[in-house]
Amino acid sequence: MGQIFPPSWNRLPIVAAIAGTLGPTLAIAGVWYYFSPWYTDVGYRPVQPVPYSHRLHVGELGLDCRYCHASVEISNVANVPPTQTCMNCHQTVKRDSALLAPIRDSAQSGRPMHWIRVHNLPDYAYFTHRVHVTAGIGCVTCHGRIDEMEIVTQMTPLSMSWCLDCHRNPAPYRRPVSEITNMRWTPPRDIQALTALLDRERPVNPPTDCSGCHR
Amino acid sequence: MTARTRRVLGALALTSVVALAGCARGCTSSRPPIHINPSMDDQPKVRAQAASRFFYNGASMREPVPGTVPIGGLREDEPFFTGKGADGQFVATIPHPVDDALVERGRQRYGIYCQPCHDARGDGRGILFQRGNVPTATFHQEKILKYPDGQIFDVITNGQGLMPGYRWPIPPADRWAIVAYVRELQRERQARAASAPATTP
Repeated sequence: MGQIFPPSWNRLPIVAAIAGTLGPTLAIAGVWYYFSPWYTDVGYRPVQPVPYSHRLHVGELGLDCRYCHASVEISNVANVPPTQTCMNCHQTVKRDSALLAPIRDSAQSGRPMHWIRVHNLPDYAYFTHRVHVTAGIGCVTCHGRIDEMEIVTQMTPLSMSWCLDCHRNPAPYRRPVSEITNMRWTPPRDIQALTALLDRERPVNPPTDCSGCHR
Repeated sequence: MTARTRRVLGALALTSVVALAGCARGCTSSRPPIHINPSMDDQPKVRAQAASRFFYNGASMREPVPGTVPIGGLREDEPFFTGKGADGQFVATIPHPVDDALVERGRQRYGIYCQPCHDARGDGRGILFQRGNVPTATFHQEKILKYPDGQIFDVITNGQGLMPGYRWPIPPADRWAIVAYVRELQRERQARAASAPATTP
């Protein structure tokens, strides 16, 4: 009677051992790397109907974020401005620009512009800008250097673990409320003095329980 | 080339193709993010400023019905909300006490909404003047020095000439704060002019 397994099967244990460790390791590494919002969401840069440049308007001309996103301090939503806000200047500046034609159409017809939302939270997360901004979390902390972006790009994962990193220890992310829209603010050398001052003036206690953000 | 080398080379080529076609964390894309577990991330509900296929103008947010007053939206205090008294004339002074906090608030708000055109000192040499050569009013002219406070409030609210109204982004209380700060700017300039030696170049 012949042998059931040919000699080449002698390698089975070693091949199985390698595949059995390498396979799951690669699978875990792949999920860790590619399924994370750092991979799936960061870098989202939709093409807008008008190529509005934050680098020009904020970085060069020095407009404050709130000139357009005026409701950020009083509302859950940091609004996209009505078309009239564009026309404040563009009724006289670059009034014949072809790129601005959709803005002029919108202003004339009253139909809102279809700007594409870049930062999209899941519909079951109830974020409020007002609370974060008045607690001294600057725009740049979550949105990145908008003043250097030709086209706005999502810079942070906006994931739950990312939220909780700050909610569990907000001190290093806080700044004076007067500096919230300042894209170039850097913490002073004596960060502890600032933290102590902020904690005295406006103590914060960010929720880490479910109902803090999910209703 | 042995079959073994060929196999190794093939595997290497396949890995590099996958690595190149895919993309590292943080590389940009104009396509919406793919959520591996869609969960209930997108719910059929209306969110602020979302588009709507139901309403004629494509907006899901509705304007209030004409003649209705939302809670907290009653505007009984005529001078505070319009800058005009019962006689229809502009009020001469800000209809509530002016303190340092109000002027400071005005300075902040001025920096956001007014400074782009009127510049930090109110000389009218902001962006529009520099970029578009558009004449912008200076606050230090005789005409505006003589305006009653209510009229400055009215200009912020409804606009004047090329300036559009800033009724939407600036709530009434902040408009009065800006009026207080503009008065402060004018006072400073007047004081400096008065104290400076009368030298004409």
